[in-house]
Amino acid sequence: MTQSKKPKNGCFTSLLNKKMGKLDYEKKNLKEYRKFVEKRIGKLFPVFSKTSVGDFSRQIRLPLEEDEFTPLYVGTNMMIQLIREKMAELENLNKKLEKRVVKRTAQVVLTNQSLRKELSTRKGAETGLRESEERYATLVEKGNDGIVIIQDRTLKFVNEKMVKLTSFKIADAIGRPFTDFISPEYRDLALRNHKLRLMGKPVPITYEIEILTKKGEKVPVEINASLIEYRGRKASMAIIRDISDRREVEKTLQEEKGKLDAIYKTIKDGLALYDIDGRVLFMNPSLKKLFGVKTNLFGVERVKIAKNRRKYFKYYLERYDDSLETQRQVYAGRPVSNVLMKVYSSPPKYVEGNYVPIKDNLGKVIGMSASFRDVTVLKNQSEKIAKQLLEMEKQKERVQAIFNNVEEGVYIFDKNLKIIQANSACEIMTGCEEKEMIGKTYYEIFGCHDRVGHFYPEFDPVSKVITTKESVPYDEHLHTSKNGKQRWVGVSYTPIFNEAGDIEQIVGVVRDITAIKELEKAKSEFVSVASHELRTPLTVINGYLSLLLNGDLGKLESEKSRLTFFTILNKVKYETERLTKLVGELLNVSRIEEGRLRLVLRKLPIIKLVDEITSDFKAMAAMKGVRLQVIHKVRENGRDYYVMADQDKLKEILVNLLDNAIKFTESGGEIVISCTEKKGQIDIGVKDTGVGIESTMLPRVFDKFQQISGSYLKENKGTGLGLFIVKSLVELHKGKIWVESEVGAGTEFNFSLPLVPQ
Amino acid sequence: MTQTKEKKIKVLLIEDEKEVAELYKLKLTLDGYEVITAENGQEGLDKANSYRPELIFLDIKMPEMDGFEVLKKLRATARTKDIPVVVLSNFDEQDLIEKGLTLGANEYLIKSQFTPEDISNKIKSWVSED
Repeated sequence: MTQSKKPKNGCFTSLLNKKMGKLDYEKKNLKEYRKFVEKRIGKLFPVFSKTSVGDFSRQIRLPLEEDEFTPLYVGTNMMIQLIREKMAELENLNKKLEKRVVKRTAQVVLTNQSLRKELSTRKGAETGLRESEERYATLVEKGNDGIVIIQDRTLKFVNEKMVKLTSFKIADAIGRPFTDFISPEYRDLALRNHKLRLMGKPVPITYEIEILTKKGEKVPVEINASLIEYRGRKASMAIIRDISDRREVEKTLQEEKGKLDAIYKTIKDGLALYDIDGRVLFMNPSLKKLFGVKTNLFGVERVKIAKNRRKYFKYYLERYDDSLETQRQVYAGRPVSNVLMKVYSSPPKYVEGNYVPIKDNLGKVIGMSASFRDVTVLKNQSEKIAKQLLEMEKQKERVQAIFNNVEEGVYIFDKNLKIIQANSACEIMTGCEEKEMIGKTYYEIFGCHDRVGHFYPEFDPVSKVITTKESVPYDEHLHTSKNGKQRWVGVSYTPIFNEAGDIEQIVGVVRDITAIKELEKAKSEFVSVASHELRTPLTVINGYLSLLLNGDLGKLESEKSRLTFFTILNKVKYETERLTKLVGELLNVSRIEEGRLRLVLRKLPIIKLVDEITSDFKAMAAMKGVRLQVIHKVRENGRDYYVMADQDKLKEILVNLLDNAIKFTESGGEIVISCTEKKGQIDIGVKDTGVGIESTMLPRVFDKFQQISGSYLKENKGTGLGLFIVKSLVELHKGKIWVESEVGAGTEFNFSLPLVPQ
Repeated sequence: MTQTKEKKIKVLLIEDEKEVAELYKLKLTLDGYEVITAENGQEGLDKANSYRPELIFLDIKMPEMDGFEVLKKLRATARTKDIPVVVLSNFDEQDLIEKGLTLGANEYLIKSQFTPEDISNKIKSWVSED
């Protein structure tokens, strides 16, 4: 295979090459493609981790969609999926947090109560102190939260948990201002809350601040503080919980949200999210730009938008689907893809919409996501392709019309030389219907041989095309069809190659040239007869001259030999005249056939002319004992009829007819020449009582040498060109000539010429 | 080449062209042959049968029956099948020459290429062949 296969998705490949650098199509297997998509998504959406992109790309299956936006599209879909996951995750986390807060609050409140109870108990009763202290220890020392007691702005109590949290030793902390352990930006807040608490004013029980570790690191904590009596005086007790984990999660979520937002904003495709009631939750800038969204559509029902797009969209939108039906489908859980719409922006764009239901973990539809892609380029291309297809279809029809209507037989053979198509001309030539020919070879339909008579398989031009891989430009064969009809055909065979360069089909064009062949044969017969006719007088002339030169006829002295000599000279003269006449006639025929014979037309008195010519023949007729009579009606005023004619040619017509009449009429016979006026024409007739012409010969009397196939050897004496010339001359004068004859009774030639006013 | 008076060789000339026939008859008669002429094929066949000539000169282009038909009939008839036949024609097409020879002509000559003397001189060779 010399030629590389053209990729079907050339559009994709070319884009790929343009954007990604050279990528050999042959190597673009599934693995390569996945790699490409991963790379592309990685570039477009850095938010996705390599693992998730990998997970996604593994879902890609061949065959690939011919789609220049595949990576972007895959990314978008991934993103939608990811958003849904993250949203669910966020929601989950929030719920967990809420639960935890509620639980914690309850816990803290309980702890506070317990502590207060403990303290007041301790203050009140000495008994049970030990048990109480144990409880206290359990609560304070072994709890999960840090506990401090603040009095006089200094730390009076710090539990073990706090030590763990901050790394300060209890001894280092006790007695120091509590604000020293708080991140500077929260110190005022904490101090103010403490003061207000001591004053008995309303203070939030819980709030978040950051405390400092020994190393100076900030730790986010949740404070749950309350007023207590400590050693007989008012004090603040704070339960401190490390919330750095929660903060971390929140921060991550915030970041994720920001990134997703960025994607929404930067992605080229239009994206929209709808809630369960079809209300717009979100639309990205690309979508707004694509449709020319005029107002904030948040919360507006899609149905409402569909009913009044002009109100919401700047551009007129034409959809090729039922928008509401599409929505119904999606909310019933079925994605609707490739919805084509036209946006009449400037320039107009074609947009393809894809609608996907959003489902919760239980598979219940909770909303709809929609993405919109500008497919103008693709659409234009596909329109172009459609146009080309249409053009191809037309071309095919034209070819079909030609195929059906040409005079030439057109065969189409497969590579096994079996006929797969044959046009109506083939049907006419073979006498077989196309369906009879299909599946057969050429030679099953025809007896076929070349000019020399070689038959199939010795002679097989169609197979020759296969072996030589070359066309047969033109050849002549003789076909014998099933009904025994023979015809000469001019054929050409042209191979049609496939992409691999192998012959797939052969087109055979077969033209019936039987008529041309017959004409050729007639021509060669004409030449043959003409040269024969020229040779006959030459033979005689040469023969006599050689006899004279040889002295065969004796010396010229004697009276007898002189007489012989004159006789011979007369014969030679006669043959020379015959030869001259023949050459003249041949020249005339050649001029007539090539259309070079020109008439010199003049207005001529026809009856006067006929009289003159006839009288020239009187002597000749009388010598043969034939009566020559002219019958014509001259006008009463004695004036003649006139024709537009070439005088010499008109004479030639009459001379030929009279000459023939005398030649074929025996002594005692009669020739009548008549002139009759008929409807603006003059009919001139030459009627004899000669031998007549056989009815089978009558239609051919005006042909050159009376060419009946195979009969030219039996020609009557004479050149056989005379009547052909006569007929041609009459017709050149816009006249007609015809003949009637009966064997033994005689022949009558008539010709008519149009009359002209005097 | 004059013949002896005792035994004249009989030659039949089948030729429709009167001028040509006269020419050959004149020369052959002068050379001492007995020349019988026939104007068409049928007459030629008849005279070949009745005179039994020693040589027949046969034209091809003739009315009614052409030379080839005459030749076929001559060769198909016992009385004439062994008489040497020389075709004398002004047709020089190869296929006609071949046809003449195939049908049994001893020679096929183109008239315009031979003088009456050439023809006359060759008679002996054809006749002695027999």
